[in-house]
Amino acid sequence: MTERNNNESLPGYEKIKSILNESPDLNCRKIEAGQVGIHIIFMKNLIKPEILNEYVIKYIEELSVEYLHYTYLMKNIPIEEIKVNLEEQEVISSLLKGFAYIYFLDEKKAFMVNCANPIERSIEKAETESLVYGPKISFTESLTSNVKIIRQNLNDYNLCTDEIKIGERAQKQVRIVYIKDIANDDTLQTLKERIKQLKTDNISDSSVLAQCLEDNHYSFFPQFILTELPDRFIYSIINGRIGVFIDGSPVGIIGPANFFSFFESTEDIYLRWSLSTFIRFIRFFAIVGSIFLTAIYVAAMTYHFELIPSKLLFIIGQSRSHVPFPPLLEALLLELLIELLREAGARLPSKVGQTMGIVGGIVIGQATVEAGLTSNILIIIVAFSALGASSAPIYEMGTAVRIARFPIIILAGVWGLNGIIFGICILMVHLLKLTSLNKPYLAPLYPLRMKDLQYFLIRLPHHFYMRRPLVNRPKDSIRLKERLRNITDLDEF
Amino acid sequence: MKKIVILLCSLLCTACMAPEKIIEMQGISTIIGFDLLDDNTYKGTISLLQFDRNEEKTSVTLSADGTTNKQIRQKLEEQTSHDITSGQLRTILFNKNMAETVGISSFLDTMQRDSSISDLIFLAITDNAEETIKNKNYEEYPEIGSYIYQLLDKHEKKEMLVNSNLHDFITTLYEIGIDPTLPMIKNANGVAPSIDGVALFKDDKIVGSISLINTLYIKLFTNNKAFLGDITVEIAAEELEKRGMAELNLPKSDIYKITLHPIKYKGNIEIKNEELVHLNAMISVSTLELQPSTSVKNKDSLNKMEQLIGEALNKEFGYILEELKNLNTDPIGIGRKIRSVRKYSYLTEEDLRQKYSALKIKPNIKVEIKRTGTVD
Amino acid sequence: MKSNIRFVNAFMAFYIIHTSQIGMGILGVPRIVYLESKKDAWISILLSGLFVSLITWLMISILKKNEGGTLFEIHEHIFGRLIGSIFNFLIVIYFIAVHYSITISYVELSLTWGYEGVYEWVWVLALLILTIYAVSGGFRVVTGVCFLSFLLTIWLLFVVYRPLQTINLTRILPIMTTTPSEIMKGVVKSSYTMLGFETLFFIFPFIKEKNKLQLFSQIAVWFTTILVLITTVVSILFFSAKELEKNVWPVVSMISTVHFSFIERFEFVAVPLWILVIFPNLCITLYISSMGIKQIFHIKQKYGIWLISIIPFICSFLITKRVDNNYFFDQIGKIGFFLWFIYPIFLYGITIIKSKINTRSRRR
Repeated sequence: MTERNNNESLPGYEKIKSILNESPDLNCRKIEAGQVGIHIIFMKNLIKPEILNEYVIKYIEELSVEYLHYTYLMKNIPIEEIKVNLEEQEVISSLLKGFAYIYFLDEKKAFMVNCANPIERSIEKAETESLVYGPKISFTESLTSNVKIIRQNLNDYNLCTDEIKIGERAQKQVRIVYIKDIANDDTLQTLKERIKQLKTDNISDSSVLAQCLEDNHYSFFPQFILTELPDRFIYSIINGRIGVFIDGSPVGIIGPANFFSFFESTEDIYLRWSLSTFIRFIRFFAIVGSIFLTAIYVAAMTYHFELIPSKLLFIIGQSRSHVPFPPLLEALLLELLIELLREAGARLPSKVGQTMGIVGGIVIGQATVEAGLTSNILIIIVAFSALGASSAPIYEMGTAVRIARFPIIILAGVWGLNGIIFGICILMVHLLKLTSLNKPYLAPLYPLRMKDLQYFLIRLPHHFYMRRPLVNRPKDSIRLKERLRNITDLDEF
Repeated sequence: MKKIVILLCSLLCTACMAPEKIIEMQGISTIIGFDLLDDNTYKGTISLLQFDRNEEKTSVTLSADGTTNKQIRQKLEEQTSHDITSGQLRTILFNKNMAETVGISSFLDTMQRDSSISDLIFLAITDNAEETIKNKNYEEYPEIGSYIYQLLDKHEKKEMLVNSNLHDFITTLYEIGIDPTLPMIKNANGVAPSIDGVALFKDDKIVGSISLINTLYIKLFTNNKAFLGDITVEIAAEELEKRGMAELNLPKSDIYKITLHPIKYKGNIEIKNEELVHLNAMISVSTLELQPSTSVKNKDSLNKMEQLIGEALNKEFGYILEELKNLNTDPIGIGRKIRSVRKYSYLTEEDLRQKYSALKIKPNIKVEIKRTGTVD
Repeated sequence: MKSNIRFVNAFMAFYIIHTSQIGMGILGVPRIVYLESKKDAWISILLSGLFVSLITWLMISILKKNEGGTLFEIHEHIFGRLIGSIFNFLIVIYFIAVHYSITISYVELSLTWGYEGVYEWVWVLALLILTIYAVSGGFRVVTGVCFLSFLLTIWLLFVVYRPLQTINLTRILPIMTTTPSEIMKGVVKSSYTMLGFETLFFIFPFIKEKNKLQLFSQIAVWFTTILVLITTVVSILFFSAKELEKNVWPVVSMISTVHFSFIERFEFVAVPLWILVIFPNLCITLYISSMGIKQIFHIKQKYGIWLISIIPFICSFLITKRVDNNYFFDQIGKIGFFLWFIYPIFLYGITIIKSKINTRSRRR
């Protein structure tokens, strides 16, 4: 360890005080042991007093005077993390992280020790994503605790967590988590370059980071998976994806993502294959119905009443007869009403929010039908669309679907069924063009990889899953060397 | 820059909306009827659905006169506040008079050209279309159009009618060697309209009619899975005794009735030569009713019974064929079959018509009694 | 425009070729061929399919012998820059004409079935903007459009099941009653429908596995032939003679006799759905014409597509009547027949002669 004599640049107490704008939390413990004067400078609310008292101050007090100089203390102080060879910028930022600055007055040298006391939330059940089966803990805001959870559940020595610091004004630590001999090198390189090229003040949360890293900023559809659940994180990493954590955010980013991965839930693995396949199909149909059902209603009422089957004709006609608005306006009003209800229910405190939801859903809906402002068939359709959009396991995709619905309704109101087909074409081309970390968004549907369809469209029993999905182009694609169970090994009668 | 241009263009496009046809603004009529008043003047009647929840009436009937279809339509528009559209039109009724004298093909041409009129609408002949549409004695349906539609639909699904919709009618009309038919609807005061036989056409004019039961003879050769209905055959009792089938203590002139329920059938037209055509059919039946009841157990008497029934059917069929030849109409499609044989494919429509009246047609129906119900 | 990976699997060649053959032609082909060959229209179509298959085989040999490259590059290579550019320009004009013919044909269909009052240029503009958006994504997006629209519309084939219940076999008997010359006239008329396989000339450099290309293109061409054959045969069995001659779009009329319990008039769903069938055709023709413009004038493709799209838009004000359109389609069918059925034979001959000259000059 070479020592650098930066006597001029190492600041003393006065200088630090002026840089930190006379912060009242800045304290200085001056210790005089014989001839030697040591200043211990720290931010009072950021350190753990026990560490400072027990391991720094008490240790220094108990040492005899001949050992009280820079070199000895630096090499022997009983704290696990110290920083030497400091520059002024680093001193300030470390002080603000909870380090104590030990400054030797005569030698004009200093080092820093870690006494940080970070605020940590205890590990609790996940709130925004919920599972019926499976582990339920969620990540917390502390980066170290998150990485600890990952390591505990996946103790492969090839699990790498690379560190990058981003942010100009408030530097935050970003960790890239991946398994070295599975993850694809090109994807990793792209991700690292993008993170390094970010020049911004402050990234407050990982969702902000995800938005900055996206391939196409204007698209409705999310290009990264954001998750709070460690088991989903680990599942993706084992399959070859790459995860990103940022300090201060309980949400982990996973990329590259493709369209079908937003319909996967880790519960699909925990439940048996028959139920999971069925539920996956229900999700697809729900999302498709959610986007197009209201639009089909608007198109049929405005332009194509010939489509209505004869038995429904009279009922539908009657239900529309009192409504003063054209169908397009009626549908848009109801959709906006439902969005308003959803937003109000989310902002109010939980007890009031639930009542609001029920009141809104039932009473207002009923009242508008009675008053003749909407038709009751439309209420059913809009309610179904709202339900369908909520069935996406990842919240971002649900929001994307909710927003994507509105242009299609407007197209249907302007051009009828032709408009809906134009909408389908635009959606199709948009999804085809979209990439996530330069990987095509619609894989494995296009480019077609038949072997991967068994992962994304349906769920087969576990002994079929001997390889990893090819969409992530993993380096080591074999998961099992031999089948889980030898099927011919049945007992003889 | 590109995005701005696209946005501008799309905004421009949204200004050019298609003409709206909002459902409650439409006067939706599901039935229209045409009557012939005198030379070239027709009367059109429609029944419009009323969507008002508070009103008691669920439909309104309108009539207007005119010389063409579209003129009648325009005059009907003047009488109501809704847009009259034909998107949900399901049935067209024609006056029998009109079908006899003028023919219906001019109206059918309009219907075909109009894309908003489906090819599956039902056509029917009735005595007075206006009266039928104004009839209030229908069952639980909202208005007369739905009732007549359901009536015809049920019969069509069970394939009781030979042709009933626009597509079928026009296909058969334009085909060389077969003549179309249409159902006839009877309308009497105080009761709901009902089906009363099938009208026979030659080109697009009615020449006669045949009862619904007797259409079985046509359906044997034109449809594959038609519902033939329960056939009642009358055999003179003496025939039974002549063949030694059963000792019945009946007076000689009495008639022995047997009702058959067809299960499967197969029919084909066999062209023997230019003058002779065999109409072969094999019907598997189960006997439903024997009046008076006897038992037909052993194989011998069964065969004889089958023979007797076959003869009775052939006789009846023969009468019907004679009548068809007199009317010079060919709903079975014998001409079409003649033309499909390589030797005769050069024959034109006029040739076929000329030949038809001179053709010797021999019916040859065989019956196979498969089951006799739950009692033997 | 990001640099998309420009290679696709040979498996995708099936979808590209098949979807660029199936367009608006299949809706009217039973009537057109029936007018020439009457009951033996199916023989014309089989012969046509055979012809197309042979020409495809020829095309792939031409492409392989010329060391891969699109037809534009082959023209410049064989005929020199000036004459090659003239040929290329004619081909570009052909593709722009085909693009417009498909667009206006669909617009006519759509305006007849339910959208009476709309101006033609509105639909044309909307379709053009969609196509530009798709083509600006590069070749990979165009292939994806072909693949996805095939998946989304192939189920329409099963709708044919319902008319099969009411057919009558005597309408197609007796067979072989028409003269061979009438059958050959039917083959020429069906060429407008079967055209589309010429995209093979232009996608060759983008295919990854060139040896599998032959297999997939032949499958595509025969699949199209079988589809057209099925629709023709079912149409002949379903409609009577005079009706088939009158009906402009017999396939749509056939679809309209299908009755589902939850949709009253299915053809009002099938006609808008047909946009998904013609969308790949429009994308591919625009892509090929912009590729040609790039070869001749060295304008980048992303500007070329805007330039080219102006032409159909202007035409939509001029050529809109049914009678004009029919004449237009006829001419395109004839030109296409000569260009893609007869011309490859000459090209093959020239290629063989040139390669023989090359080997002789190398030996010297």
